[in-house]
Amino acid sequence: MHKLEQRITEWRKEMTAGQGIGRETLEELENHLREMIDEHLRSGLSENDAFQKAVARVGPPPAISSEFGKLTHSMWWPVKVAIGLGLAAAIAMAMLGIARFDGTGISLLLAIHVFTVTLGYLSAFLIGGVGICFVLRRCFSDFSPARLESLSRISFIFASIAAGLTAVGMVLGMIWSRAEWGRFWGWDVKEVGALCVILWLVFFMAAQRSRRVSGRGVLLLAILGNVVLTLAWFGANMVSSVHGYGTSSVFMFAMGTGLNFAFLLIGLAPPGWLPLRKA
Amino acid sequence: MKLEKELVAASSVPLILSILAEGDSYGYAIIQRVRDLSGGNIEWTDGMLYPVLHWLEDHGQVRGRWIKADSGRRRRYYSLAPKGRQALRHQREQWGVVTSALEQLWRPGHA
Repeated sequence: MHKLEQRITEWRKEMTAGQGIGRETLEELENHLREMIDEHLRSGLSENDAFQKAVARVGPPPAISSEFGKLTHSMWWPVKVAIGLGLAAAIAMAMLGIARFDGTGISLLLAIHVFTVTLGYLSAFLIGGVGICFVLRRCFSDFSPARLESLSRISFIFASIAAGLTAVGMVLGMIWSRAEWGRFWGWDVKEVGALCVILWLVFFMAAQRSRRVSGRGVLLLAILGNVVLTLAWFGANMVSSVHGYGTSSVFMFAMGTGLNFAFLLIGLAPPGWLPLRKA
Repeated sequence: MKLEKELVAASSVPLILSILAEGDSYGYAIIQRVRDLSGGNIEWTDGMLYPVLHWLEDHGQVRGRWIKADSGRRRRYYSLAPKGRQALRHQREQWGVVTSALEQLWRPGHA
């Protein structure tokens, strides 16, 4: 039996090597494989023959993976909206930056720093936005495992962009700070906030890649990320900071944290708990 | 007699929807039901059923939910959604047209 479990583990690895097969899809396929193995064992086949026969019936991993890959081509509309908002914000901020640019090198550095950090935070907020849409839609019906896998991978792409932009912005800010204030790092709350956001995004990406966190788990983490961002953006300005941008609105801070925690709680409920109409 | 690949692929959606119209079911049981109904002549590569089920779920025709089985493992059960019932009616009409035309053509004595 130990050998059989080992072979199933190897089969799982082969299955996950391809694109499109997430944790939940794999669980479904593995259940199918195990039921078939049990049936063959009951009919008197040896463990080895039962496994071989069941694997052959399930089909070759590359072919199955390719079929699932075809499913993920259609993008869920909130993701399209998030991409559109991100692009529109990038263009608007770039135009605003160009209009305000006064022609000095130091000013350019500061403008790019503010642009990249703001866009990085916005990208991270957009992942949380997709997470909120997921939680709300899930109140009415569940997502297919393939759709969840697709959303989880898109979240990873958004997080990579957000982490990259925030990190570049932070480094540019450090260079600007050295030239203007004579130091790279001053443990200012906004600086620490940006560092926390980067560390959070790295953790988020690692969780998505580890496959130990389900698609739903990844999207709930994305909502939790909104709380981290709210603390870094609105929370940091509530205590004294040398950074001028951002707002110190207590209302926004309370809304940002309270609402996101509420969405997180809703996300813990079973899918379809709020049926719109009966089947 | 084994069915041709193209016919197997074309009949997969109406077969799945019809089986789910009988009651909620899960992947392995759906495959077994198809095998029983066709006397083993419809041969699906089992793993290919799941992309179809997930496609139907993404398009709101079926609903999936995880249920813990006696073995302790989770099983994903599928049920027919109202949109799936509508799709099934449409499929029945279409397949009805095809089978009726073929029956007329293949009736003994037909030229």
